Amino acid sequence: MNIDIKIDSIFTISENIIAKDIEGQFMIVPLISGVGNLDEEMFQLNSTGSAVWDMLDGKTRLIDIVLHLSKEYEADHETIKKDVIVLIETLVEKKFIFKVT
Amino acid sequence: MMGDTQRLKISGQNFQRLITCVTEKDVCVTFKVTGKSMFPNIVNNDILTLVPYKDRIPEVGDVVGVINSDTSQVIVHRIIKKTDKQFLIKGDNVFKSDGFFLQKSIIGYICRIKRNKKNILINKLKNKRNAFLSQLRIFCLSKPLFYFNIIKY
Repeated sequence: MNIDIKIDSIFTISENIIAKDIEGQFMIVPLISGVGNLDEEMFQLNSTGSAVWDMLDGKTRLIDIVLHLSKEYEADHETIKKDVIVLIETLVEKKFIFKVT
Repeated sequence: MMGDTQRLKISGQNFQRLITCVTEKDVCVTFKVTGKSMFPNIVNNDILTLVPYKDRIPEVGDVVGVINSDTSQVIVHRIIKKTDKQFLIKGDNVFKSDGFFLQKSIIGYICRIKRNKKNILINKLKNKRNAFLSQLRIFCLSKPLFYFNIIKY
């Protein structure tokens, strides 16, 4: 799947998922034809991933997410940018999120 | 790496929290079961589809997902008796029942069993018959006979 992700793109969370933080484990359960699959299709985010998830509000640009995380984690901007794009690609491919602009 | 898809294993209390979260939104859920307490009707690694009770009242014979308040775990057993407000739950292949549960502890009923990529049909008549056999402990008693048949052939 070829996904065109630009750093100024905006993404939002699909309605066909259920996300839950369970004791620090952020779980995403996809709803396939209205059925939650707890067997094979679950996806887990670490703390940085869930911080990205929280900002996928349909308003925040990816660049702003990267800047926020670089500041918050005092990490290299380029590394964060690369990681965020990889995560976004995966989430789009799984149809957990979609592009707004 | 911010996300992980590697076959996530979730069990016990965390599984209970997640399945409750899903069923509270009136959404069906599929999951894999382990154990022998419902043998031969449900076996190890069967994939079950659980439907939340929305407009339906639990009935004798239904195979249900119940939250055990002592362990906070989900058990999948059968309703074998019903009183005014409580339901007696028991595994088909165990002698002892799990006790009486209120409806609020029952998260849903099993509508489909998938075994080796094949769907096993569930119907009310079969459920009622199995509840009767479960009460009589027939499934537990039939175990030696089952093993005997395997050895025989």
